[in-house]
Amino acid sequence: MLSAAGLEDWQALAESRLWRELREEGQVVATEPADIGAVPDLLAGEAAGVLAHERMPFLSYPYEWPFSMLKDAALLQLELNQRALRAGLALKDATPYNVQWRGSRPVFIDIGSFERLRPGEPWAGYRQFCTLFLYPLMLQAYKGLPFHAALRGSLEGIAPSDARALLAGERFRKGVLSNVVLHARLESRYAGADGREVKRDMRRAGFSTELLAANFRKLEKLVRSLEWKPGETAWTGYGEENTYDEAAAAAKTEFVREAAARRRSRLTWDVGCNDGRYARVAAEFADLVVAFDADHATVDALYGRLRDEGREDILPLVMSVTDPSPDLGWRGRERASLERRGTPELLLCLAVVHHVCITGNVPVREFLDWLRSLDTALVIEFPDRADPMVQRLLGGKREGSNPDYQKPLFEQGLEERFVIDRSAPVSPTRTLYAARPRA
Amino acid sequence: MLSRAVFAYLDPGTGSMLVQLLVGGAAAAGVALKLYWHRLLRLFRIRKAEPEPEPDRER
Repeated sequence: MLSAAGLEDWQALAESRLWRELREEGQVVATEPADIGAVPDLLAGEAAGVLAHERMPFLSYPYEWPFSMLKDAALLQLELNQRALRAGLALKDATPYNVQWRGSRPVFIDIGSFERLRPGEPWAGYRQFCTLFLYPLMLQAYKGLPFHAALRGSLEGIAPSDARALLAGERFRKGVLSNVVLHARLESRYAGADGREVKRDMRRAGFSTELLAANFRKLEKLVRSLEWKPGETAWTGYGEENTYDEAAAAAKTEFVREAAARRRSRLTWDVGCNDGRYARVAAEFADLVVAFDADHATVDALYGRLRDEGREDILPLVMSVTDPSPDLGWRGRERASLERRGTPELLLCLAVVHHVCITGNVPVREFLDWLRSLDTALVIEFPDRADPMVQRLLGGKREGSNPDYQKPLFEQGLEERFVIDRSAPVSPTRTLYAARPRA
Repeated sequence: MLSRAVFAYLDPGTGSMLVQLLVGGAAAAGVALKLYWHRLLRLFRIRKAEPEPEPDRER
């Protein structure tokens, strides 16, 4: 919904060549003026105009994006800032919640953020850019600490004073002295100063469009320079070194393809996607595959590959099955929990159940209850107790742990909740099941 | 008496505006110097208080 000033800003945008270019490139969400009468419960004079935009296929939030996705979203934000400046426009906000994804392509969705440029004014979105883009990226690039807990814990991001506490030891690394240390100091020193006066003083002193452009360029160089090198984790080498031989991997691929081909899916989830090989198979028969994995490095690497291929049908996200994204924000409604964003029609659960039930201590029946609650068709792999990986997970626990983790009990639990269409052994210790929900 | 920390919570804007004078590198340094010159002059009442320009548009 637009105010009178907002409506004028929209018209300035819609008439610009920039808008045409951005739409053609697919960098902004398709937006059209809509009928104001169609909006319910509108107070008289509350809105001067209404815009409608296309829905994105599956919402995601920055605390679910691997490092490189947040970096690319930041670069999109800065690119839009620079191009808007050249078109006599500005963007009010700078938040990753204004970016959504078509697979591996970022799309800017907050058209209301565009406004006519007021010459001589500093960038109003700078602080937000720091708290929600720059500081999280610096935290992971300079300290090796993933930003996700911080962003999930605070929708406003990391405050300048908190960033200084975290990054003060890195003050000579690129971008820290001005954007973190001095920023925090000036923020506390000038708290309570009159913003309008300061703005007026800055304009009179000559703060100009050229300066804004220089700032954007410097920030872009800074963001481009931020790199995260995770090193080997337990999972990044998994694809090559896992417990399957070639024949078993081929059998697994065939099983997944056959199950996915049964019916075209609008949305498929691949839980525990690892290197994404089975997500790619499922994508042949789905509009969108959301590929989840709890390991940051794995998802980051997968995103890099998908981005280089330009794929829009697979969205990679960092997510733990045992601790998925909750409802956040005002009344728990600003940022939706995972399940409230749309449940899938097909779910791949390959080489996951032993991690959830043994390491994660979720009873097998409860895990099956959750799968049934999604009302989705299923491809699930069960490694039985003799499997080497299962043995390794049990090895760390007390004798006799997880007595419910047994193939007969698993099959019984599955049959109670699902109709098993097909089952096949993929190795001496692992079985695959294709199933659909029992009414 | 409200402490500075409370103001930071209510209005985190002005410090963030000013630091942009530093982010831009050498180009900004010249502008920063000019800004402090203006403020210094006003502080010492060397320059008379300027008449109000048209008010900033309400966001």
